[in-house]
Amino acid sequence: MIKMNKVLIIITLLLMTFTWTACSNADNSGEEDTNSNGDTSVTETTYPLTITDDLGNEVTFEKAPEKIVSVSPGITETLFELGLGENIIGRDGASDYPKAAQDLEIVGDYKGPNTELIIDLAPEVVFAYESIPEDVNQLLEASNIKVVVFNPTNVDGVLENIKQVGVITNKQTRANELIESMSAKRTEILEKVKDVDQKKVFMDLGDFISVGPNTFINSILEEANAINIASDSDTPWPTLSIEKIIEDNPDVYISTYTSVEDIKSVVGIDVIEAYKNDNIIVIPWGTEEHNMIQRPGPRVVEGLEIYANTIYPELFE
Amino acid sequence: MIKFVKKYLIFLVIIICLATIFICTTIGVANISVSQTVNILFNKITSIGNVEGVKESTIAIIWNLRFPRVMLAFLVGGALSICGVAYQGIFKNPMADPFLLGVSSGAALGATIAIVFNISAIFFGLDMITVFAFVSALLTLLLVYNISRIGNKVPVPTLLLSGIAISQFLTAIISLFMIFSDQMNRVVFWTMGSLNAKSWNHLILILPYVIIGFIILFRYHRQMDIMLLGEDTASQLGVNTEKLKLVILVVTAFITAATVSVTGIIGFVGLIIPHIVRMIVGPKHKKLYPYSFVLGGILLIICDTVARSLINQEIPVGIITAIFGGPFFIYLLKKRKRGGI
Repeated sequence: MIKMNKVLIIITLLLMTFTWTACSNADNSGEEDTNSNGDTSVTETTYPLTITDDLGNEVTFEKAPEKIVSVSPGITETLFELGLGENIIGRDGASDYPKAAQDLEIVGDYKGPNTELIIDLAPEVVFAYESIPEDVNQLLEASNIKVVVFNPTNVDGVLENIKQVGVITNKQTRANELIESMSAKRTEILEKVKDVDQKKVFMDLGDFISVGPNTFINSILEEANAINIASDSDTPWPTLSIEKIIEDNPDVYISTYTSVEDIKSVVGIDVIEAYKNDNIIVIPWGTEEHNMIQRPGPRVVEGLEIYANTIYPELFE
Repeated sequence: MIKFVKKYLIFLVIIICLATIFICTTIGVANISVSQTVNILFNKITSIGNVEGVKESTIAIIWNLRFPRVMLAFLVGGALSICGVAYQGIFKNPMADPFLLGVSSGAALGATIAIVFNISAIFFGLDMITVFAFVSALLTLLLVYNISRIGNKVPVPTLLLSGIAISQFLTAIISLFMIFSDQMNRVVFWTMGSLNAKSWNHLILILPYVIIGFIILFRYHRQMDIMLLGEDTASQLGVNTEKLKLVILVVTAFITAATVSVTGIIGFVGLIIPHIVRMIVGPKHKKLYPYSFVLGGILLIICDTVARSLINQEIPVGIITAIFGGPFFIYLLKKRKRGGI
């Protein structure tokens, strides 16, 4: 009995060592490729290339992928920006920008891509958001289709993703140009809002569901130098009680769903600053403007500008 | 002691009820002192006293949000409970609750359509989700009733089965809408019930249904008692059971449709309160209705207070009623078994 226990302990220890080494290896390789490929002076990718995606999975490419399926609207936009529109053979239903993307075949939506359609198209790689279900992921990998998952939580994350797509597809020069122009515009906006008197913002995604900490939109509001009244919530998508909204008294009320009349008809809302100063703004769901503010892609800086402009219009006259 | 409690039970319940309303009005996420709350309430109800110097937003929170919300919770909890009493009596089924015949799925379908297609208009101060839910709930009950009607009769088993079938069918349609829409979370939240952002206009909307409904239900309390002996016996004793069923169904349809369309689906209250009250006051409907109303109201006020003030975001109240209601009900069942009553 005691012997058995000893064996078990040894096996456990061995296993732990292995996993630890495996983990630290993953970390190392991740650092390595940011060193070798992250340098802007290197513009050609050397294959085979191993990258670590936002979920920490390692993916190895033998050559630049030529047949790509993108089930993430932001990445679809990135690919078009990098001049890879012709390499995309499938997209999710929401990938509607640029216009050329709309002619591509739809392989499901970003939450539930259709594995059969994707495997039938036989792409070399699928680019997805972290919302892709794990079992879909495994099915695709079992069919020898590489899956790279992105999970940007702020503008920096988006820039990182663009860089990574550039590295994978050997379009580093174009990716760097894109990142530079985005960063330049971003700096310009950050410069404008830097010293402003901070305003409190309530973001309403419908029925007072708002954006909590660790969400993409929250990070954009922070960049725009605004105070998100829901940022102290316990969950990413909290439903705020109207009592809290009134107590926090937001200066700006941004809704992506209801109409201004609907919001104004909520009893008690007339005491908040946003109501008194007519600062209730609706950016309707599904419009180009709305896509820009919620889509982590190359137009994210334009989205940032829309937010900054909505919250501090006086700075952008 | 027990004799004393029994004699003055009604006063005891009323006192607990008033205390609950008052205490729960003082609790909330916004930091407002008890004395300020008392001051505002007293001033608004009796127009005596002085609220100058109190922040406008504080007054709005207490008088336009919290107090009407507590009162609405009372009304909704009471309304669902008396419908539960009526359903359990007429169906002679301990599992019956106000949503048995599909009123909840009907209302949910209406709400889903309004949410998914973003139908946005104000109708007498009410949003389209409420209006759609109300109409759709009534249509559903009409449909269920007509499907079950065989000649002049509406047999209870047929009514139950068609209610379940229609309810499942509508739920499937709702799921279908949700799959093709990006508004899935709003639909889900609606179906879990919430009293957030509800105020006087919602209270006034459902008040007439509840008052008139209660009066009609109460008028039939003797016939309901006789129904407990079985439908056949009841009709031999001179009760027009078909008419009674029709009256109960129509009245409860309006009450539940009105409440559900405003609050979303709040489960469990209508199921457990009648049972609890039956344990306390016995099976006579004359007592069941009023006690169920008050106790159901108290329960929902407490659940809603937890839902809105436990953390600094809203928890759908339907979750709270089920989480607290379920185990509490099981405890009561166990206790009753042991006592052998």
